[in-house]
Amino acid sequence: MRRNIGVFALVAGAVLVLVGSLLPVYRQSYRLAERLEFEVTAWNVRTITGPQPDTDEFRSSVQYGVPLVVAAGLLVLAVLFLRGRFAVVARFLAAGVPLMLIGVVWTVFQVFLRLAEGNRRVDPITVTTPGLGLWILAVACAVALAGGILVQPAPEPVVRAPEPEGPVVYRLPDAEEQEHVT
Amino acid sequence: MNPAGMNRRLIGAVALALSAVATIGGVLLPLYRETRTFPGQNSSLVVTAFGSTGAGASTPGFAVPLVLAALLLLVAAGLVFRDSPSTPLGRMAAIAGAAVLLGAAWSVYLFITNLSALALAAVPPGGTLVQTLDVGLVLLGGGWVVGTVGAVLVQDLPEPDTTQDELRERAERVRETVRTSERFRAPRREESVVPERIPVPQEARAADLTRKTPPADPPREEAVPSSGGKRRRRHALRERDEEPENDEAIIYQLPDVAVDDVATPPLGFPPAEFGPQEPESYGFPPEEFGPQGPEDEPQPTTRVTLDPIDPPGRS
Repeated sequence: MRRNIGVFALVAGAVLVLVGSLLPVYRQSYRLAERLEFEVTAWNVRTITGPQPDTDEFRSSVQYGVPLVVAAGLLVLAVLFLRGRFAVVARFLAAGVPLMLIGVVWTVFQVFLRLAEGNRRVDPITVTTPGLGLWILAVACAVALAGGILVQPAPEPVVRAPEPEGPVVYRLPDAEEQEHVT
Repeated sequence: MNPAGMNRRLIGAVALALSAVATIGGVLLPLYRETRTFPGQNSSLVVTAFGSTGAGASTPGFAVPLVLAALLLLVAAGLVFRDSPSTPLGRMAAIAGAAVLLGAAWSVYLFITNLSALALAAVPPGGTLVQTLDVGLVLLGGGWVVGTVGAVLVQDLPEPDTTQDELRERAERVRETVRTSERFRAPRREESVVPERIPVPQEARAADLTRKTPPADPPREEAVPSSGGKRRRRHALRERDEEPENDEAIIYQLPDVAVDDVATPPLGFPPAEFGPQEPESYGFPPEEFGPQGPEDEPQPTTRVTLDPIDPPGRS
């Protein structure tokens, strides 16, 4: 049961990662002479309002999607090989990959925090708001981490042999009985 | 843990500590450096994990996840260095540290390369741009590789199971013995696991009871009916689920038990191959009535006799 929930959580985490990487991580609106709005996903930057870029100069964003997709793939691999010869490796992956996801999402969050610092100005030029993708990625981290913990074998309680109590009695062979027989 | 495993764990602990040091170095040292030279104007940018100095982009602080990863690796190295009750915790911390470091360092690398790509795209004609991926980034990458190796080395990897091989070897040896020493026919492989029914007639059983202790026994072959070998072979060919007859004892013959109460070993195993034959009785505790002490042994009158009317010890 515990293991099935863990497997389900790992798969759900992988799916959530893929969905979150496609959704906008954060939105930026520039108050310049003309209004500009961008949506930044883990793969690219989309212009919502404003002039569409005629070159691909600003199309490239940080490709956070690469480690995210790799992590999702590793989660699926861990689920597939959880039973069988490579169970040890699969459990290793199930424990480690959610933490790798956390590393990636944390870095993305740090980037968002730095950009959101601009919101605190009195007259902000840029306003950065978090997107749905950021929250979904955070949820995916939590779900995958829970799954990775649940698929680990439950620690078996250490059973100790009971300590012997009372005096130690050594039983020696009784010589008198043999004499009786004679 | 065996010495090889202990060495592996110590090497892993050292690798974890090295990786933690490298990660801290990557946090402190610059990750990226660029110098723009325009006609009449120079500017430089240095990016570290705490932000950037100089003109250009203001980069986020990546230090928190990286320092957390370094701390996890350091704690793991400390915990697994000695084999203590907290070693499993250290193993988990090693995995966690290496994994967080992988995620964070990879994202930082992606961010830095994107930054440099943007700078390259934004350089105006006539200017020069010198970009350096600096020591910090190299330290982060190297730290991750060493840390992952260390995290794998300190795990309690399952040792290769040799007991199965040993059993298989023994079974093969038994089969060889059966093939070479069976006198009448070579048994097929399945027959060695068929439970065998050895008939034990009543008088032979009664004789068996009294025959245990005295050392000067009549030879055993006289008590066992001479047709025993033949009958046994016939019974061995019977079906397993057949009802046993009343005067038969069912003996499940395991391959490596020395058979010492019949003249011919049923499957031809020489008992000496599996260790010395055990004596039937050690003399103590006495299994039979009658005098048993070692001082009584030389006197022939204290022997157990087969007289049912006047059993020894009663008179």
